Amino acid sequence: MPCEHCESLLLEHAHGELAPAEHAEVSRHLAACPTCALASCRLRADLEGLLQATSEAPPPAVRARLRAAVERSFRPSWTRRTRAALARPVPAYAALAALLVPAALWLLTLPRAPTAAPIAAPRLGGYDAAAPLLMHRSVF
Amino acid sequence: MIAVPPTDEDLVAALRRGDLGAFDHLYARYEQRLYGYVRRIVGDPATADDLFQDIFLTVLRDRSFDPARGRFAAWLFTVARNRCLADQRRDRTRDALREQAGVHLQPGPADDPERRLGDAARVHAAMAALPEPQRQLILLKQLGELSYREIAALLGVAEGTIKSRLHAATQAFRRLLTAGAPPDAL
Repeated sequence: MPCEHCESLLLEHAHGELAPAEHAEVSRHLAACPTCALASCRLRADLEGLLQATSEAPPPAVRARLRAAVERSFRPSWTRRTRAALARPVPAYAALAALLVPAALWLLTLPRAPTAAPIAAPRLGGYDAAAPLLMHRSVF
Repeated sequence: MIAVPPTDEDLVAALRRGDLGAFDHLYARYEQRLYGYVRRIVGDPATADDLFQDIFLTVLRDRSFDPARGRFAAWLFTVARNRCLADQRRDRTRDALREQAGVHLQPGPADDPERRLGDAARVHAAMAALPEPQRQLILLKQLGELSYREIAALLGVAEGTIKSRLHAATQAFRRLLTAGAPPDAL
């Protein structure tokens, strides 16, 4: 590859925009040609310097305001949160089982209180289901 | 086994499901690049603060973003560019930036103790002195990390056009950077 052609491809090479075969060809040329390699290094240094100088973090207050706004917009409703909690299976249910199983066993081993004698149902003396109703009985 | 970090698109989907931790990840990925982009375009820090917040929130709330149709970064910087341009239309700061660039482009002392700070100032001055379309192009590529194809789609021109414009813009930037360099660096 002639140096002029390589030089014209340095920017795309630095940006990773060349096709794989062409990228490899430029890389091979750079490995063999100190002049083009130096030009490539200078270009990359300028681009890196540009990135470093132009990147800038916003003030912390901006993040706090944005986070609060996002929370207001995206915080799920209580129904969705409950469903999500129930759908989170392993640790929560294992912990629950670890608490409930011994408690249930302990309850089963407790001595039972003596049961009281059953209360007899009141008997209905003289009741005859087959007898006619009072209103149908003859008075005399 | 090495855990693969979630993609931006995965994080957007998680946030839409109510996972606020996804926002923290996205914010950490883009805060410096997006804020740097906005700052370089609008200049004024207070305006940049408001625009940055507005852009981020708009992009996250906009349900029309479909991860299957494009990358989150391209969408984010498309919205950022449009917002910044709209803001610029309201309040033209170009003249102020050019004046500022004129001041910064004076050669500095050769034995500058804060060389790194000086370098950043030279980069800012060179960027400010670039014509607006070239500045946009370089920032979209360097800070937005958009591909030529994505920039072409954003600007509505052919990919080959972007390639040649980026060449011209990068050359102009490097010329301005050299012009503002201390004499010993030339």
